[in-house]
Amino acid sequence: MIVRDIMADFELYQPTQLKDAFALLDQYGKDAWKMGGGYDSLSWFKERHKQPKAVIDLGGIAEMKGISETADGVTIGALTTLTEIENDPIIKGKYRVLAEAAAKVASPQIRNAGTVGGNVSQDARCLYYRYGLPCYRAGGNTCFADTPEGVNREHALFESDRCVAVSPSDTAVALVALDAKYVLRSSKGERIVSAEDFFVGPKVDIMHLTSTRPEEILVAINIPKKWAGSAFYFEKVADRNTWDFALVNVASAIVVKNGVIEDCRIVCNGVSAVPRRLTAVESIVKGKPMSEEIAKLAGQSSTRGARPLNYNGFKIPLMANLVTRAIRDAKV
Amino acid sequence: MSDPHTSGKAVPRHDLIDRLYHWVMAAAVFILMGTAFLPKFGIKFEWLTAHWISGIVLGVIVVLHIFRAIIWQNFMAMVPDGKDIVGAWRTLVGAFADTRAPAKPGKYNVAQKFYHLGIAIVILTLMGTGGAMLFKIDTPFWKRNPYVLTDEQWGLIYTVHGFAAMGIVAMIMIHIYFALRPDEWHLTRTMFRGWMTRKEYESHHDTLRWVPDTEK
Repeated sequence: MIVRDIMADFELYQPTQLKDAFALLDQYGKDAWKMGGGYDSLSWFKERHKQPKAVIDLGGIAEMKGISETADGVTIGALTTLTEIENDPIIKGKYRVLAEAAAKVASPQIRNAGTVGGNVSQDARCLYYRYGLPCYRAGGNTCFADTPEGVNREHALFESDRCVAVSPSDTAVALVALDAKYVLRSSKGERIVSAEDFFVGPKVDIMHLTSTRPEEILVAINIPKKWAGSAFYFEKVADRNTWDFALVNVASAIVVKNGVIEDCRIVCNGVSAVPRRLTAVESIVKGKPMSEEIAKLAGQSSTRGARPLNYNGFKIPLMANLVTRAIRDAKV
Repeated sequence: MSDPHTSGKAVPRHDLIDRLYHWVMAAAVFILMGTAFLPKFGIKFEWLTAHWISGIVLGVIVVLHIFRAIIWQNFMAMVPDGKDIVGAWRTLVGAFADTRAPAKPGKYNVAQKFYHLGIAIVILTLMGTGGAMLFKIDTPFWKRNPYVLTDEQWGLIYTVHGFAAMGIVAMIMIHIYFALRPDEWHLTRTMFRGWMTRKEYESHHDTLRWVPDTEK
């Protein structure tokens, strides 16, 4: 019998410099575990489903914290807490959709310690996977959720491939809507990937939700100023209003001129393994007046191609309604 | 220069359909190997669809090949017989002591026959286990249902599929090695153009054991 709630032994490192963290990652390789706020990590450890040899607590690295305005937009350190993002005047003033998304994550206590880097990097919340069953995502050879008897009301509508888990992040949709860039650094150098490319689906990598390599650390997120001051909308629907993951959430950033949608980015989460940017919907609404009819058409179009599982068919009208509102109710 | 076909210098060995079968099979196997192993080496891409479609292509052409070999071709030409065993023994002994020339084979030598037998076993194993694995994925034709077998049965299937996949990698390496050896080029060429020269035929094969179809 597995003893739960008692973590297995590991070496704890608390570097205060990025270079020291990279050295530890190079030393331990795949036996290392990177920890930000710890809310994803500690639940894995307590359940004993993940038992790394070394845990590298990044919380002491000052250069990964804080929000600063740059000539190109704004840079957010990956260790910036969700509460800081929620209350930051720059984010609230120019990129409100991210502040609203951060404010909807979990509970105030969790947001006080949980980081934006951790929120976008957290692992899937599929109950079978989290329970420690040997599913595809855990390196096994089956999916327990996508079966005739599987409980799958929280699972994917789109782009599933063997695994039907979804991305659970609230801030991820806002960051994709804002066309953010993720700064990934290792001892070998730095690469910058778009928010869309940061996430990977099971077709490409069934065991990870992000493209972060074992030796890399997500150090910062850059938001370009293109979308600053746009009309924004964020909404999250979950089984309860606090401390819960989204069944579906939506974020939109819309540039409106003279009542016409000039440009937009609309993103949903909770419907696929990666935040789903609705490019077809964006194409439909661009150049059209921001009206109830267009918003409804967009909502109906957003679910085209959905393949519901046994118990998540309700997500289709839910997603359609959220997308409708994300256009109709977007405000500067 | 005279046309080798009309002058009788060309000895037909592989019909066009058999050469097409070989090369389609080779393409399918390489796609299967690439889609199976490249992700294991960290090269991430959408591999599954290409893998199962290639597997089905391979399965279909293997079944067609079996029918063709049984009904229209000389099935026994690829089955090791007593003369092959004796010839193989003489070749083995001759390599150490005997100075007599080794016996010439018929259309296929004993190594080719055993290789064919081995790769047939490996590919049929991969087809069987891979075919079962199709129950694990959604395709345009059916929905997945992993409960058709128990966990233990699935474990066995995955293990056998994995070992057979490693086996085919080894066999393909052996195949390419021999295909590239200069002393085997006369055979490799026939898989491109379909025929060998009469000189190659007479010097490498027992003309009594292999009588080309055009000369029967």
